[in-house]
Amino acid sequence: MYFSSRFKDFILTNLMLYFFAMGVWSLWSYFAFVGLERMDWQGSLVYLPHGIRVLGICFFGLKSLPALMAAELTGPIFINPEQYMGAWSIASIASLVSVILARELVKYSQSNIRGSIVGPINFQNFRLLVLVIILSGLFNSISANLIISYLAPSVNLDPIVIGRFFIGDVLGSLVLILFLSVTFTSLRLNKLASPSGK
Amino acid sequence: MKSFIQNLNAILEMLESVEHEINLAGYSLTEKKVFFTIVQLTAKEGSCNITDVINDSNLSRSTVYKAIKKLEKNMLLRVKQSSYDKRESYLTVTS
Repeated sequence: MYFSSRFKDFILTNLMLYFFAMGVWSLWSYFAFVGLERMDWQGSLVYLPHGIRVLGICFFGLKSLPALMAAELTGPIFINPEQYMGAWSIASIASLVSVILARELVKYSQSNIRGSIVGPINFQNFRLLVLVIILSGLFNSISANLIISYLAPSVNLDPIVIGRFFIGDVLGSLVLILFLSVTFTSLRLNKLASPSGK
Repeated sequence: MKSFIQNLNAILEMLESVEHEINLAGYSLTEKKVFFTIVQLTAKEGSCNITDVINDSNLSRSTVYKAIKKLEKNMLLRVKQSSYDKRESYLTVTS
């Protein structure tokens, strides 16, 4: 009974996260690629999929990894196979590890500080989430670029690209969270989300 | 280990706290529409008045007035009477 419930929980979490992630990938690909002639690489300055990694790992923990990894692999192939292949798929593993590392670092660093500006230590406190976003963006921008430049010799390590990755991850995550926040709060306030109207 | 529903609820609580922090919680969709219209018009034109908001949002004059009163009372907006035309008021978003 207990294992059946945990298995159901695992499946539900992964299905929900995967479909949500694919929705965000579609939305982001529109910003990044549809208007390519107008926007060039500027679409990557608001990299929305990083927000899913942060939300998934911070709120659902390591059990969300299958869905996040599947989304990292199928999202880009499904939307734009020529843009992201090979080295990018391996770099996406580093991106997920960056978020796990940032989450653990934030939890560890806050463990002995009372009345901290980013406390209390739970992810309902969005200040803590913002700290994870900034740290994971930093780790991800460096590690993903190192991996890509190592595996794909045609790509050179460029500090401007690293900076762009960092800004893209941070802004993208914040935009996604703000969008979800306004959407869900509006639904609740306008009694569209609760059948009881409460 | 937390269940799926508990995790989902934790996300919703976090999203609600973000909404409280940006100070738009407790406003109806109409009031939010008025606020965002003012922000957009100010960004595009540099300034906006009540007539611009009515024309752009397609809301009635009384609805826009009511929303502006509430936003002004909560110090999200500043309403300044025009020095040229006393019947017109300019709206600015407080930072």
